[in-house]
Amino acid sequence: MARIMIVDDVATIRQIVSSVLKDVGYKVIEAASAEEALALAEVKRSHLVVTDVNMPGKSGLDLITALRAIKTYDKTPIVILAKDANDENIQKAQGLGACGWIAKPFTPESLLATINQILVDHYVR
Amino acid sequence: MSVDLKRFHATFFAESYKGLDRMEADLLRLERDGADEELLNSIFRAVHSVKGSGGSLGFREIAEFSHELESALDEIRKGRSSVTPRTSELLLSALDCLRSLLRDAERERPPDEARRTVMRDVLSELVDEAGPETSREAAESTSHEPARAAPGNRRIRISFRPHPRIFYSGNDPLRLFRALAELGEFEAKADLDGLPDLKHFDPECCYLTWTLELRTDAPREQVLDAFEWVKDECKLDYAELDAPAAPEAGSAPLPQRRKLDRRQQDRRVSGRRTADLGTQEQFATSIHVSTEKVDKLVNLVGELVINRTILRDLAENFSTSRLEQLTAALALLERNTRDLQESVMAVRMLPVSFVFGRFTRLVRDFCQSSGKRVDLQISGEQSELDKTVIEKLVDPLTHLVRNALDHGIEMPEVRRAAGKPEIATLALHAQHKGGSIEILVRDDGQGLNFDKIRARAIERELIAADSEPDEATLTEVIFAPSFSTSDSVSDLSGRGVGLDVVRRNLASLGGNVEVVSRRGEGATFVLRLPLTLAILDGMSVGVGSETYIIPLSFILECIQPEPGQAKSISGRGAVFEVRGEYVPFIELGRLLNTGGAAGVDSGIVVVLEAEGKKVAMLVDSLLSQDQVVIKSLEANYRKVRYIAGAMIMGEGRVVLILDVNAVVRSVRD
Repeated sequence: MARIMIVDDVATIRQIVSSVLKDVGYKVIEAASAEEALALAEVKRSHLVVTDVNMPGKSGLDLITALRAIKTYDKTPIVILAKDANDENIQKAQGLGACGWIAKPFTPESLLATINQILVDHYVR
Repeated sequence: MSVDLKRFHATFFAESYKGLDRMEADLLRLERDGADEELLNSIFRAVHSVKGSGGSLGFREIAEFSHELESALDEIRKGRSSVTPRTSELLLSALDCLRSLLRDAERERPPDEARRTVMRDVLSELVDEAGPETSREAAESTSHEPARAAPGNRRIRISFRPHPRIFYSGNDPLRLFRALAELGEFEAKADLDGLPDLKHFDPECCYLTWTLELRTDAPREQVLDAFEWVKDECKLDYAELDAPAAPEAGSAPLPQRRKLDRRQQDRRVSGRRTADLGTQEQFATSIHVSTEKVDKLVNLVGELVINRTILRDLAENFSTSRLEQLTAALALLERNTRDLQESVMAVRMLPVSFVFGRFTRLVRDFCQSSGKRVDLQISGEQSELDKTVIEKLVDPLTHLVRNALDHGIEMPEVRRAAGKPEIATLALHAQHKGGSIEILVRDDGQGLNFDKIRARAIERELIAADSEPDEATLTEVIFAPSFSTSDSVSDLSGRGVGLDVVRRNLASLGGNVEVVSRRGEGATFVLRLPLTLAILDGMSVGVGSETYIIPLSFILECIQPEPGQAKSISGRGAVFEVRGEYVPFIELGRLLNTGGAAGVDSGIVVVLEAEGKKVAMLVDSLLSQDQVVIKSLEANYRKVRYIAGAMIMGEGRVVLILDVNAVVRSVRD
């Protein structure tokens, strides 16, 4: 099963994402900051990264740039957690190579749907 | 699929309360120091986190409120509006609203109407203040009457034709209908014409369209809000049908925004806030533990596992020749369990700042409403205390602080007339002292008014009418149940449930409270709590063959002395020169009769400060700096002069902790 990394400084969000994904059988690794995510990325590959944008320290956008520089992550699909459909970060993130976004607040169903879709698009088709 | 979101609630509430506490501190800093980018970002993030996780967990009111707050903050953050004193006032009120929303959600009860009104007022004014351009729109969407099931007066018909692949984006029309049903009387008629025959039926597609009818008072925007998630994936036709009968006068929808007379509004906001402070006692049932402490626990558990292996091996292949090994393994087990016990206790330790922190806000609000001017000084807040002790400290300390603000500190005019600075000082200080922790609440107000206390005590028949009690007796009187000298009952204190509660709470912790008061100069309340559970940072020093711990908070500096720096003064001990300043000089070895460094040349001088006095103390060597869990010596042995307590080192050795106050006092006497 695919391994997904969730990066968010808010523990509640991390927990929700992680258990929703684990419930359907994904493997999940959690990081509370972009810095932690990068350290994890050095040692562990993931099939998909879900990251918040606005975090203390390095932002989610910084993380995308930094992940692209890591060999095992140069093509990994990255999804950002956006404020809403009009969030200007969506454009920025896409420019940096992110391939999707999920608006916060999200429902477990919509979260799964988006992630499933992106994984299918990226690895199956 | 169904996911039980309830399991995340505990994390959400703990995290949100913590975030809001930090936000409160940030807001107070914002008010004091003005806007800076990092500060605004941090405040914004706090609200954003609550919104994101609250919304995902289905707390709609929390998500909506924080969303509006976030928008207002965004305006400020982007520099489109500045932070006026009024803005920070409003932001603090908004924070209170958010906090009470959280509390309501946690207790699973709906927020009351009065609070809703306050919330709406705060938000609409905040939006006005924050950004004139965006204000109209945002205010309108926030100031609606909240959802309710009573049917309204407007009939709305919506034709809803979702895209066949709507399920792919995780949207479910049924959920949407449920949201609409909350707005009023709702009816949905499905149109089955689009259904294909079973052969071509794709279960993941949506073939239905609906005609929805709604009777509601909710404005158009709010109705359409329900479609927020699907508006890109459906066709919507919105039509208002004629309202049946005209509503009778008085039940017309409220004006979108009620602009209150500002004074009235102020009072409402601040009145609610002080009431709120009293119920702010929710202490998270979870505690935040540093990874260091957890790592230590993990290590210790590892040690225990090794220990178990050794013991099992011994048990399986035992012979009397291995008795010595058994004894050693058991000793190791004993040490490990003790270490583990202590580490578990350490997990429960919280800094006193947990209690002190909340007073910044209380003092600020008090100054705003009373016209008194108070500078709150906090020191020693890093001392750690057991969580239970901290929790029980909240009430007594709150009473004392309120008392000082209400009764002790005078109005600026009075202070000026008395020749005192207009801005009063209220100091909160925590320190480890002689086997206990002391918490001082000191104000430079008028002090206890003994005439008034005496009169009130006679009135209450606490003392005989003709007696002339001394001040000590009168001081005792103020701790009597329901004693109050205040003429009026204020928001903060004066209900006469103060000091007896303080004393009772402290007694239940094995502590006590004392007052030192000077008329016209202020009063100091000293709370003393046993230190059995307390933890402190200590420097271990070697003297002769002994090791002692000096609490780090007393150490100013350590100096490698040079010849001639210490000078003896005939008959009056010795002094030590620290950069031109002469400080009393003592040799710890001599003071405690342990031997050790005979002269300045062979040791290290530690400069200590306690009770405002400095002392230079000679020791042989500095060994290490440790976190020390203090054991009371009095409880386990007896009181020893110059010793505050003891700790047990990793290898099981008992090391004594120096009572620096006593040492410094010994020099003065």
